[in-house]
Amino acid sequence: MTSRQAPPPERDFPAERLELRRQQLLALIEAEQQPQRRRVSPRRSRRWPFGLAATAAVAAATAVAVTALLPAGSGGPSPAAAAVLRHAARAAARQPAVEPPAPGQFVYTKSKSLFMDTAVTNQQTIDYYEHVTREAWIGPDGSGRIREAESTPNFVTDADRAAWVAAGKPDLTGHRNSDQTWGAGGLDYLNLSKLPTDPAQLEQLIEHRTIESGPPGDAETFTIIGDLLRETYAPPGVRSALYTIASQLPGVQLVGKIRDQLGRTGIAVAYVSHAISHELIFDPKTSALLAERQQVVGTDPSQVQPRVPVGTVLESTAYVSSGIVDSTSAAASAGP
Amino acid sequence: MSEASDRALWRAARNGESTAFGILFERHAVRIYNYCFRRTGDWALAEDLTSATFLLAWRSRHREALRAESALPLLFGVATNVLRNQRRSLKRSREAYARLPLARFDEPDLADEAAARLDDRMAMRQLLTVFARLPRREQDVIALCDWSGLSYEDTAAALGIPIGTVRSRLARGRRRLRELAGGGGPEVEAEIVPRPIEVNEP
Repeated sequence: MTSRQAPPPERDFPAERLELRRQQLLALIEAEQQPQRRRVSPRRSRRWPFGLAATAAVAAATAVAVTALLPAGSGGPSPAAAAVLRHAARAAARQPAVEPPAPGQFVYTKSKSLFMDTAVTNQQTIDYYEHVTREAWIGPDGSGRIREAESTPNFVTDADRAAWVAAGKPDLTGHRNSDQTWGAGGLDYLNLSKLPTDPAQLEQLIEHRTIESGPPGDAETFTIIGDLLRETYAPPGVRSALYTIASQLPGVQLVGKIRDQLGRTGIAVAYVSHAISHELIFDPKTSALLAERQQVVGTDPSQVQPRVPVGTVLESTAYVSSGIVDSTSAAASAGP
Repeated sequence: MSEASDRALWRAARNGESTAFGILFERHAVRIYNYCFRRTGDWALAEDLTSATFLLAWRSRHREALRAESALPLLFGVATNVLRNQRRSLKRSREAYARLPLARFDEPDLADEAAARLDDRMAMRQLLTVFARLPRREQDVIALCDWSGLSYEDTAAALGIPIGTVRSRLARGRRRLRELAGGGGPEVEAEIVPRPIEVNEP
């Protein structure tokens, strides 16, 4: 079912080739050292500009109080998180079933995202948010369309804006405006209608990375649960089972009631990994996934550049609407 | 006899000891070689790119202090740059090697494994036609984290970006990749395999 293909396994560097290459490298190094011991410019230029254009703009997305979250891994889920997720599982089970798309139909999803990115100019780094509106139409045969439109980015802090001005207001271009159409087999349609509704069985499939591949560990399991909850046409029983699995996942915590970037109120649960809180925000009445968010909640000792302050949102996606439509030019009006 | 750490070898290299750098090459060339193959789908090209990576790493040794235990994140970072500026990097490094008296590149003789490597090449090129549709920066984090098994921290170090950015690019890239099946793809066929560059022998 998974389409995230892996490359073939690594191979040896053939021994005699390796030796030849080593000799050549050393010979070249010796040759370069002989004439003059040149000093290499101390200027750091290993990084490259990523681009992205910006005018200044409003402050970042969803300013919400940062709840004190503990790092994951201490025993089971927090009792509060488990309780709201069990409640969500029951609410999901009560939802009317959505017919999966028939041949010729498409699953349509519209989302609005902001992504933090970093541009690098000479010595300075500039953190900014890309804003992307994304629409996807995916048919059961894998045909479909993906359209992405990027709007004006904004800076994470005033200092980032100042750095951008000091750097001569470089064009920070995201290159994310795109509109592509695929024939059958071009996109991966995730068929969730045949998945077990028994939480234990479904958990096995997720744990073994059968549905979606990925590294082992509870953080990735939480991510996969989020991926599957995003697919609104999954049967109510499957969605209910996903919430049940989340309610039993060690390390899951309750963030509480928060507002997404569209102003909708939902309940957020989180898994904290590397001092980043990965949050799923859902409607407590319907268990629909409203939004997802990643936020810095602490200082990770292994973090290479610990300059992103606590509370910074790294990524946030709100699901605007979704549903089954009859063509790749139709948009669903229903909420997520 | 204890093995010298990467850090000690790098320090020695900064003091001009090329043999120390040779040990680093022996130790890590295979990882960089496989990384370059996976990014290009070409074994012979991967060898050249590996040489170019180590040559560039040597030249940058004064700029880059080795803070990590392993030189690999740094080398993966240099390799990513080499891959990004492939034509220019290869041209420079091949010109440099061409000045050497012994610099004749023979075609790799890989007869024993030839069939398997040909299979790898087919599989990799097919994967790359899909992969090429991702934005470059998402390709970089997926190739480093998912294909080469670097940790988020090492990937952040290799690319010189914050760890949070690694995570968010990885999530975006995986999501996008999940949507892109093998198949025909969009109407345009992506040109992903670079042609070898002609270098005039002196």
